[in-house]
Parts: sequence; structure tokens; C-alpha cells
Amino acid sequence: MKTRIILFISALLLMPALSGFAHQSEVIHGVVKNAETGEVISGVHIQTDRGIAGTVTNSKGEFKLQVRNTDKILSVSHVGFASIRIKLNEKCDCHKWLEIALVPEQFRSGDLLITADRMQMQHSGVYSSSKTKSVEDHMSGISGLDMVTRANMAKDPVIRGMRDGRVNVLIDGMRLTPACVDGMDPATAYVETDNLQSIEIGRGFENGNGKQSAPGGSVNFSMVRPSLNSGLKASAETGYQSVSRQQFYQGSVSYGEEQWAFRLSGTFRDAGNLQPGSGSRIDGSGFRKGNVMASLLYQPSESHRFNLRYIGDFAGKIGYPAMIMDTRRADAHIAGLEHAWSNPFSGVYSITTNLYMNRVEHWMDDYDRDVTEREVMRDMFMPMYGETLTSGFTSELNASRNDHLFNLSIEGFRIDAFGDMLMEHIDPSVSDMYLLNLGDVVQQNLILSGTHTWFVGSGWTLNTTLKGEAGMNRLNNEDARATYRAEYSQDINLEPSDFAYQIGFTAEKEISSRVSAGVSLSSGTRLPDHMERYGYYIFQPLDGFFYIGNPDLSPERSTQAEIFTLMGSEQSRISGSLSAWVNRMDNYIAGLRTDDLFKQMQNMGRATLTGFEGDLFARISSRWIASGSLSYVFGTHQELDEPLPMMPPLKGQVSLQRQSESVQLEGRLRWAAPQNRIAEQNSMETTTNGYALLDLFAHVPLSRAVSVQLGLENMLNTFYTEHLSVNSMPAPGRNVQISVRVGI
Amino acid sequence: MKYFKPIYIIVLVLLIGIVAACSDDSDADLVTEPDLYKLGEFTDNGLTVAAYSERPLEVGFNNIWFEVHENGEPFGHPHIHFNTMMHMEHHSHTSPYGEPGHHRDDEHNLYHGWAIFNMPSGDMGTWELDLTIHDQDHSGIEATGIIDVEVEPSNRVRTFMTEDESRYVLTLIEPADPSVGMNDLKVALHKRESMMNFPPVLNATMQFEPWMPSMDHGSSNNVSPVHDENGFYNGQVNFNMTGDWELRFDLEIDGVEIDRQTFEIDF
Repeated sequence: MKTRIILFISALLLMPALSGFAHQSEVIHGVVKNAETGEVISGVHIQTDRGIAGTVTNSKGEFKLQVRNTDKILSVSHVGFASIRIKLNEKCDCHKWLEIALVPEQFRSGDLLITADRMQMQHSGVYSSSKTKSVEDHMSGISGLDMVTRANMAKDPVIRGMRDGRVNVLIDGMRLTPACVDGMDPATAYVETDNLQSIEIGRGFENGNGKQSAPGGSVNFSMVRPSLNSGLKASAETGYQSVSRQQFYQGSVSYGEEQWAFRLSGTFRDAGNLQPGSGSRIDGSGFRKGNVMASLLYQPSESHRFNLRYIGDFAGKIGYPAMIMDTRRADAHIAGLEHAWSNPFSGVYSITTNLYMNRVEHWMDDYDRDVTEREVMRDMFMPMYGETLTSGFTSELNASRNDHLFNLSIEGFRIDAFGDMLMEHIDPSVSDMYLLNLGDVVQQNLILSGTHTWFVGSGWTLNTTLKGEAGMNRLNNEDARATYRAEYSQDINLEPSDFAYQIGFTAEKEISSRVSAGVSLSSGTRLPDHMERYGYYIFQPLDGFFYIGNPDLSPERSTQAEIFTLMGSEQSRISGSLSAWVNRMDNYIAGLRTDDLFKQMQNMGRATLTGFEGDLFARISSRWIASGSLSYVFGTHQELDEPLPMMPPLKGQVSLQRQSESVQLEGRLRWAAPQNRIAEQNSMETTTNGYALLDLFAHVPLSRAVSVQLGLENMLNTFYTEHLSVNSMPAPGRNVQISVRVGI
Repeated sequence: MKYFKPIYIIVLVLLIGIVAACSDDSDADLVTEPDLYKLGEFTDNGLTVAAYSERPLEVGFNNIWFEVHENGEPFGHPHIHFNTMMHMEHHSHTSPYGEPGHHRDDEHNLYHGWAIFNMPSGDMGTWELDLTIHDQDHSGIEATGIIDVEVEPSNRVRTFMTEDESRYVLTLIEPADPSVGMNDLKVALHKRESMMNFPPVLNATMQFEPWMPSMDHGSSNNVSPVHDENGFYNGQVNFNMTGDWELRFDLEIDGVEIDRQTFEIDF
């Protein structure tokens, strides 16, 4: 009854707002919120009745949409919420900022939402509400997104063949700098599924969405917020995965009143050795980690909302069997204060400001290894320590005027990084050796960006993006400075300052009632990151070389072109998207092989990446949904006339899902082609075989409070290795997983 | 009043005289000692000759400074000749050395020379500095003497013999205090023509490489030493971390390749 009342009120409120719309083509824009909590909802599909126009809300729940005078109904839908249909009548005030409220559906509430630009459907496997599955597992279904595997946890996102500094990984817009100089702790290591409301993925330079985009793209982990007016809620989930004998425990409690709300949650994982598709378990591949999150929301008025949040992530030993060391301990403290200001001025509908500070400490060593038998650094223990402190702010303004939308943002951040390594020979008569990997590095950046979206009419939407970035860098440790002077020259500038830019243009046209297409052109530069400039003797497990940074690097240029087409929407029987893109990189930053052990960071001429992503979604019946995706990246380093290393192969997946309020089922086929295009001159890459895997998932709500998640992954126990697996670490074999979730 | 008897006055006057006399003697010895390690001194023919070094002498290259005083005053223009001498059980030998110039140096205002000791003092023999000083103004004043010195062991000298049985002394001089980063590299090469003659080698070519044996890698941008003057060769060495390093020298002298000579440094 409550649902119907809210639906009725929402529709009633919207009717006058939309009533003047019928006689002309107009732009409508607004925000979608949770009707129960007032929280914004990202990834919501908004579409006109004939499927002519459609869009998806961004991370702040906002949307913009051009509708025709013939459109009568606006359809708003989202996984986990009841869909609503809003009548567009002659009284529509299309220039008004609309607020749409959606009511949660009990049987799919708590879903983790994964959104990607220009994907018509959000990935919504039946396991979407499970906290048992890792963040990487939830992200694995996005075409164009791959993961570098180093261990049985914490995979590094690769978008369109690019990773590390070429992909922005953000936590609620905050930057987090990994502390392990060997890359064992990507940002994904420090967030749990429980921390997240949604994951927004951008592929390539993203024009017009206000994100701080990088040439490869971005991944933004939006943190879950406590709900206003929610009263007291609690949930607990426990689970087990057979492939690594992983036990999982998660719990949360939240309380919300009219003006404030609080949420506290915790997660603990204890995993044993991983079982690949055949053979015995991989020794030393287990891990143990805990995660806590606290979030306080305060909304003193309709216009202002404050959200103070903290994530603490604490890992014990993490085994890296494919590498020569293990993580002994890793601690991350992530804290931020966000202020959202709605409708501050006429024409400006939101200003969101975020202050944050993140600290990461990472200890690794090889004390549990037999160092007398290995090839690299034999007879030597090598404890390593790294720490980073990242602090910064972001402020974003959104405004509209007639058919124009504007987004202005400013971001400033500072990274303080340190890393060192002690080398202890097993022969006590040999002196210890000490190496500074990062000698008190400071990186400071200031970024200004603006986007303009113009709904021109006749189905055309034009978008322009401009961005400028200034970066200043310092190397403070005197020994590290002496090291770099010795490596290059006494006159080398160890405090380089650089400027980067990005300019982008996107044009999109509705071709027919169900199909739209567009083209996007971008050009920009990327400033070298602190590791590329100052990392010293950085062991890169991806290719087994030690890297020496280069303070004298020039910004890397990326020129991208993309054509895309969108078909239908989630409400259509058939919908999908297809993107084909090319990315030309000049001044490409990579390690130049200097001998059998070392590489030096250099601007290495030109590299070209090209590829495509396709997604197809078919609503077979009211209960059965089929979907599929396909992606490919072809990378070439012209300077070396050989393939770029670590390029994902042609890969895809198809799934068949049965939706129901009783038992939801999903079958999935994942596959990848062999990758025989490998880099052999400048890297020592190996080929990988193709594979095909069958998965089966079930979600069984036993009551309104209790549900069971079941999964059987890699049913045929196939042995396979992902091409982006470091040192060809085998992937998990057959995995039986079960979790029980109780909500109060 | 009994305390003022004449005998007391006489004693008091004598005591004052003694103290005054002692003060005068002290003035005569009030030679300002430099802030250096004093190796020893001797007095001959009215000249007092003292030798100093930065630290106790050790095998390898050592800076040595000399001062000459006459009656407590710096001697005008001494011409200082010296040589090292090792006395062993059955024979004696010298080692490479460099005599001081005719002028005082700017750093210590002393007369600067150097010596390379190729073996430590001990049961095998003892080292001494044999000195002869005469006046550059030809006043006829001359002093000779010996200062016995102790030489501590170190690993900064390599002596080797080529196939034609020529003997050489290779001395690592810099880096004396190695640090992370680029360091000056300085070596000296002398030929042992006889037990008493070690002329500098001016035409050797050197290939140089630092190596970390326990890590099995070296470093980049090192500069192999080239001859500067008088048998001294200058280059640069890059230490990219602390620890145990080998400084490896491949020499070629008069077209003859020499077996690799290695110095070990640990810092």
C-alpha cells in the first residue's frame, strides 16, 4: 500500500512538471532517489514509451533526456526497485529540475550495481546482492574490462588494454594510491563489496560525464550510504567457497531518522590455498583480511547533505605463489567528508564537494620462502615496506540553461609516497643491503575541467569537454636524489612540473525510434605518475624486469576516436550496444629494456590500440532474460614493431537468467580465445590457451528476511590461465559457493 | 710578623722565578698543533720536523703533512725530501710516495705530501718516514731524521705481476667515504721497477665496473678511470644502494691485458 501511495504521489508531483511537454521537443533533467531513504540512485534507466530516447542516471542519480512531443510516457526502471511510468502531458514544465522517487523491491534490494558508459543494461546477475563475491567477481561481466591476476584476491582493472596510471581507480571520486611498489595492492584490495553501492566504469576518454577520465578509462567505487528514515536495520551474511576453502562473514547495522543516518559494517574473509582446475592446491595462496566501514549522513535541510565515511581495511598474510614474496600485512585507512548542495543558485542544480585523506601501509617479505632455490635474488631475504598518503578535494558544479547542460569541476590532490627494501643475505657475514624504491616522493596535481552538453534538436546531442591539469613533483630524500643524479645526470631536474590537457567532442544522433549512433573524438595528454618518474628498482611481476623511473618523462599523448550505436533499452525485448574504437598513443611511456634484468622508463614513440565491445540483451519472456557480450583489443607498439604486452584476448560471455520472486537462476558461459600475439622483444610474455567455462547461480529467498545464494563456477573443473595472470598463475577450478543472508 | 722573615721572601721570589722560567719554556714550545693526527716528530740541527695525517695510517693512499720549526718558529722555506721505508727481516723496500711542494697548502697551512703503503706494519716489518730538510734559501741548515709510523691493514692496494714479470701497485684512493649515488673514483697505478723505485704508470687503459655479487647486478653510468697526472686516474662510480660492492678493474698496460683486479667496499 505504501508503495502505491508513493508511486501515486511521485506521479502526481511529476504530472504538472511534465505537462507542457507534449507540443515540442524539450530536454528534461533531474534526479532519481530512493523513495524510502531519499538517497540518490545511479544506473536508473529512463526511457520514453516508444523507446526513442533513453538514458541512465549517473553516480549522483542525475539524468538528462531529450523527448519529443509525441512521447506520452516516461518509463523509469532499476534493478531492485519497482518500475514506474510517468505520463507526459501538456502541463509539463520541462525546464524544471525533476525529482523521481523509486520504491525498493524487497526481493532484489541490496544489489551491487555495475554501470558502464553506453551499456544499455546494467550487469545484474542473480548474485548481485551477495556480499560473498568479491568486487572483482562483480566487475568481471563488463565487456572491455579485464583484470590482472596476481593472487587469489585484489585484481587490477584493465580497461581497453590499459592499466595502472592510464586508468583512474577512484573511491567515491577519491584517489587512493597503492603503497606496494610492486603493484600487489591495487585499490580493489582495499574495498569490499559491502562498502559499495555501485561501480561505475568508463571506457576510454569519457566526454561529458564530469569524471576525471584517463586515457584507458575509470573505475569509480561508489560507497554505500546510510538511509534516512530507515529506522533500525541489520543484516548478516556468511558464506563458503570451496575452491579456496574461503570462509566469509559480513554484518551491518544501520539506523536512519529524518535528518541523520548511520551505518556500520564489517567483513572478514579467511581463504586457504587455491585449487586450480586440475592437480593439487597451490601452496601459499591463501589470505586473510578484514574490513570495516562507518558512514554518518547528516541532512540538515533539503538543500544540504553531509556524509562522513571511513573504510579501514586490514589484511594479514596474503600469499602470492606466482611471485617471490608475500604480503605480510597491509593496512588502509580511507576517510572522506562529502557535502552535497542541491539547487544552490538559479540555474545551478548541484554542487558536490569532497575532502578526503587516505593512508596505505604495506609490508611484504619472503621469510616463508626457500630463497636458496630461486633464480632471482637467490640466498636473499627482501623485506619491503611502502606507504602512501593521498589527500585532496573535489568540487563539482552542475547547471542547466534551456537546452544546455554544464558541468564544471576542480580537483586537487597530493600524493606522498615512500618505499624501501632491505636485502638480508642468508650468510650473516654478508652485509645487509638497503635500497630506496621511492625516496619521499611528493606529487601535487590541480585539475580543472568543464563539459557542455547541447541538445540541439532533431535527435542530435553534442558534447564538448575541456580539461587542464598542472602537476608538480618532488623527490625529497637526499639519497634518492643522489641515486637519480647518478642514473641520469647531475643536472637532471628532479622537481619537474608539467601541464596536461584533454579536449573531447561527442555527437550522438537518434537514427530511428530504437537506434541511435554517435561518434566521439578526444585528444589529451597524461602526466607521468610518481612511480613512472621516481620508482627505483621496481620489480614488475608482469614481465619480471626491474624498472627504473625517469623524472624527465614527457606527458603521454592519447588521441582516440570511437563510433558507437545503441539499440533499444532494458525495457525492450532486444537491446544492445556496440562500440568500435582506436587509441593512438604518442610519447608512449613504457620500460625500455636495458639488459636482461632492467628496464628504464622512457617515452617510446607510438603505440596503437584498437578494439570493440558489444553487448546484447534479450528479454525472451517475462521471466527469462538472455544476454551476451564480446570484446577485443589489438595493441601494437610501432616503435618496437611488436604487439603491446598484456593485451586481453578476444573474450565474451553469454548468460541465461530466470527472474522470479521465488527462485532466480542464471547459467553463464565464459570464454576466451587463445592469445598468441605477445611481446617478445621488450618483454618476455608467453602465449595462453583459450578456455570456456560454465557457471550456474541461484538466488533463493526463503523469506523476506532470509535468502540463500548458491553458485557453481567452472562446473567442468577446467584448467585455464587468464592471459593477464601474472607469471601464468592458474585460475580457480570448480568452485561451489554458498552463502546465507539474513536481514532484519 | 714572623711570617715575613727574609727566608720566606727569598723562597717566594724563587718560586715566582721558577714559574716565570717555566712559562718562558712553554712559550718556546707553543707551536700551534694542526687539527690532524700527529704521526711523530724529530729534532735535528735545531730544526723540529713533525708529520701529520688525517687519521692513523693504513695500507693504501695517505695524505701526509709536514711542519718544520726552528726554535719554536716556523722555519722559513724548507725543502722537504722524504721517502717511505719498510724494514723487513732480510731486506728493506720503499713504496710509492709524493714529496711535498715548496709552498704550504691552503687547507692546513702545512707542507703536503702523500704515501702509498702497500703492506701493514707488523711481524713482517716496520714502516718509517725518512726525511731530509734543507733550506731553500741555501743557508746551509739541514736536518735529517726518521719518524717511525704504524700502518693499519686495509684492502685498498692490489699488487700484481704481469706475464713479463713486471710488478705493479694499483691503489684505490676514492671513494674514501662511499655514499649512495655517483661518487668520484680515483686510483693510482705504479710500477715496481726495483725495491726502491716505484715510478707512476702514465699510459694504462682501464675498464671499470662496480658489481654487487650478492645481488648479481651492477649499476649504470659509471666512468672508467682515465689518466689525469702522475699515475693518478680519475673516473666515477655509481652506487645505487648500500651493501657489499666489488669494484672491478680490467687493465691494459703497454698493450698487455692484466688479470682483473677487484676491490671490495662495504657500506
